[in-house]
Amino acid sequence: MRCKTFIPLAVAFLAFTALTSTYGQESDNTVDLRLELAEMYMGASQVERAINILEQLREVAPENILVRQRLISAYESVKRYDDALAVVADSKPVPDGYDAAVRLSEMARLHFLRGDEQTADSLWVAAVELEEGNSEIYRSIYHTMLGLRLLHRAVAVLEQGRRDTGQLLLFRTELAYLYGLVDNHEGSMKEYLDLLSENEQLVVYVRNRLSRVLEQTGAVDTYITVAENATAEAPGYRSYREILGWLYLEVEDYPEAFREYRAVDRLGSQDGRAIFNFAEQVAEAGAYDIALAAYDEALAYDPDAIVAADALLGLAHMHQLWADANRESAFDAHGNRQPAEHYDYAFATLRTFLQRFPDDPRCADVLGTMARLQRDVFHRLDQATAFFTDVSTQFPDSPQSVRAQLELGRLAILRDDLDQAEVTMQRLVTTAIVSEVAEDARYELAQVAVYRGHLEEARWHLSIIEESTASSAANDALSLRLFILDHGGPDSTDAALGAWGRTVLLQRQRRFSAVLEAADSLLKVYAEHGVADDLRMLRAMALHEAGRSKEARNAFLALALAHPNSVHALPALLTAAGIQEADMQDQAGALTVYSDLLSRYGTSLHAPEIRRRILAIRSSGE
Amino acid sequence: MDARQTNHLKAYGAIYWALQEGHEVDWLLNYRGGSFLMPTSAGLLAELAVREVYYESLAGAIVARVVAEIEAEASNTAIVRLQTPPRIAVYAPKQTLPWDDAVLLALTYAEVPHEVIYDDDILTGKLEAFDWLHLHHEDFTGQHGKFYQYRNMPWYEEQQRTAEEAALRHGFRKVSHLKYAVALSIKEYVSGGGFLFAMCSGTDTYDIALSAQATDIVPAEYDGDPIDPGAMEKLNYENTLAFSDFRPSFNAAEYEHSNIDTGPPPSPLRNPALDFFTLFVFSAKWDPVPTMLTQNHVASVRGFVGQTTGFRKQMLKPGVVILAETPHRDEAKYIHGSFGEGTFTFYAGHDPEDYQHFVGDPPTDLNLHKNSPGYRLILNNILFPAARKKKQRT
Repeated sequence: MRCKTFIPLAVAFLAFTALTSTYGQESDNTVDLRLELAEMYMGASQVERAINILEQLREVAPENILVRQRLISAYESVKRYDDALAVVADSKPVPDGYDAAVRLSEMARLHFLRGDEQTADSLWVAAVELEEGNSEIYRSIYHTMLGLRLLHRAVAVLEQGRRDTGQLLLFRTELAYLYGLVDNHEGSMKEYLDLLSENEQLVVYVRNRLSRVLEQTGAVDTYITVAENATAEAPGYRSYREILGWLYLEVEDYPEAFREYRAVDRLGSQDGRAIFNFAEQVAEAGAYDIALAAYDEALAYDPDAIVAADALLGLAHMHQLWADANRESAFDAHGNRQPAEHYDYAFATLRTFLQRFPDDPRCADVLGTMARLQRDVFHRLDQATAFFTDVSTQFPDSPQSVRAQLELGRLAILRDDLDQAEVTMQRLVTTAIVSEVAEDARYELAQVAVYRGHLEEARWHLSIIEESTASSAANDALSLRLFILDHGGPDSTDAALGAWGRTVLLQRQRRFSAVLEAADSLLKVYAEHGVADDLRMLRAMALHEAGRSKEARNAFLALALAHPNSVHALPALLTAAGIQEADMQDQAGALTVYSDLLSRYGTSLHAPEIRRRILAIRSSGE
Repeated sequence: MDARQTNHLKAYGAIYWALQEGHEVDWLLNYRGGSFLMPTSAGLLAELAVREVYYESLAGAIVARVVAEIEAEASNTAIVRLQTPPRIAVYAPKQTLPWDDAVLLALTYAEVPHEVIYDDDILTGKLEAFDWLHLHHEDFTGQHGKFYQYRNMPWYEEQQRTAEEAALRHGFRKVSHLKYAVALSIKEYVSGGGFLFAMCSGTDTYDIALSAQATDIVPAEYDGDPIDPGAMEKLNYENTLAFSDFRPSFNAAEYEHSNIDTGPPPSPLRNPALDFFTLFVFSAKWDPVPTMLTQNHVASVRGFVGQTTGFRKQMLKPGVVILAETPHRDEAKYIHGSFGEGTFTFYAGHDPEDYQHFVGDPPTDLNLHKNSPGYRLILNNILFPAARKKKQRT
């Protein structure tokens, strides 16, 4: 019996439950649908319609949190703050604690938006007092204030949170960020350093955060001061020193930065890598003295480590830049060898690299650089030949080897071995048909033909190069071909052009005395010929290259004054002014020449450069 | 200043220099592209040469013939004497922003002396010291240029922070209130005889701000509270200088301030090769001011877009003169008007030599655009105040 009675009862209960659920589901669906409709109205900026629906829904479902929130938002969006406040105040009471505090903070926000800052502040104070020491309450209020851009008040709340909870580590990232926003750079930096003291791995994070505000007035100086103090108190904190070193680099205080990077290295990997990285950055910035010291120090670690190889190459490259910046020359005005400190260092450093790291894949490039230094700076053709030969034989089939063969051909020209040069270039032309090297080699063949006076052969080579317009040699080829075309005669052998070609070869071989002698002699014969001005230019250039600045300037000026309609007149005057400005350090004289140039050639292609020089001299004199 | 001129932009700087040196300069309106005539001197010739400015030395008799030709009744030409170099202020923040400012570029390239001022200077009355004020890519509505998509970029944060601090410093709750006060000061400056030149968003946002004194048109994304639901009804177009009956854009994500701006051309025409605007020709003898502002060596100028690309004609107030328009579009590109004792000139678009200048793009190198007709229009404005007579001593 019991069982029979139980079964119908159970069925009835299930049926009732199902009915109730169905009814409840329909009701929820209606609320959801109408809520969705209200949101659509909101999206379409039909706020009043949305409010009507939400108000009705609130009567039906007063405890529905979603409805309540949407209604508050809707009121707020049309600045009906009092209505929004009424909804908040009319909500179901919650016990004192986090939820109540959030509600008070919400009311404070609405009071603030309606312009009642005093009430807003008192509500925020009340919210905190509900449960002093609950960190989440401070965090919630902070977020509300941040949304209102009340940055200073947000700072005060977080600071109070720290005091009230007694947890000095709370809100570290929040405060670091906020302090930065309110120009409290000292506070910001202290927070970041505290963060680093807990986790050294955050250096990159901190650097990224700081770099966002580095340009604010006074920010970087304050960061440095704070970081200096912190480092003084905790000199063993590597991350502090990394940040301080980076800040010094940002303000280009390289000596101080060096000190910090040194410490970073000592406190870290102790392999010189940090110092090498510093050296690279400083060399890039042109602070060669400091970079030099840093490279030396990086090299003082394990001499066989990969850092040492990198440092040697970096050091050599820097010395070359340094020498270029100083316009260093390995020869004096009389052609005598003189010390060229940085070029000499560069060469010696590269040699050390080869000795210490003979298996390094960069050796071919290093040999090539050494060869160019020998040829272009020290004018030691035999040594240059030896280095290029090494590249060619030790690294066969490499791109460096092909380039080295071209350079060997050029060296043959410099040694006046034109036959050998022709053989080398011809081989490159046939073996490296499509490469840039082949085009360069063919141009060299054309030049050799000019030097020999074989102008027809030169024209043939040049016309082939011109067909390849993408080639870097094409412009030079076109220019040389036009020159040959324009300067024929005075006889059928184009003797003047042949003589000019031989003089150009002497100039290329740096046989300046011979150039002067040849030019003077030829000018007596071909004074009226088209090549005369070119010979005069060669003569002046030879004087300049030989370091005879004053004579060179006079030669350039004489050319321009005697032949003002010559195509060389403007370049000659420009070079004369440059010599006066740079070699003779006569700024006033150079200014006169530049001004004269501008009045006579104001529409030439060189005019912008002339104007730049005038403005530069003017500004340097101010 | 016709096609023979080698550097139109530097020519304005050279004229400014001559005025500074005490020379009087005649501006020959509509004569060979708006050329200048002045007595020669060795110093002047050297300066012209250094600045790459083409000049012709004329004998006295030829000068007399040119003057007679210009003053002839039948020709639409005139002579305006320039006497005093105007004191120029450019309204720009100290912060470096990731876009260029066409007027600062033009003034710097042309070597025209100018001073950069901003909100603090204007609110402390410094504007009175200047004859000419320029505004470029500025937002007087207090919406930080409506660069909401860049809100997490350091430059945006810095811009927002400094603007909010300046507002608080001057006792305003919102940046929009500060900017309104600045706009009002500028309006008083113009009313008192100042010359205002604005470009890009410095034009429409200026008027929008003036119209919105009694309401809030700034979305919550920019000032923390929503716009006033009755904002449209509370806009007061009587307060504005150039525009009326416009509707501000209330969408924070839309990179547009109002429907004053016609926006970039439709996509088939959004092409630097096809987009251009034409300058109106005015009577040089009867309308010297608009004539001065439109002096150029070309009649059609290549178009360029900006946050404000063109002004919808139907929103121009009566009395505003259209100096240039885009053909077949309801768009004025360059307008001019008077207010009180002063005048205002608005030029739509961002950079005359960069068709679409995006945030982060490098500044235009004017060495590559020495003869830019679009930039010439900017520089016409700096000489226009120089046409005022010097005060007589007695």
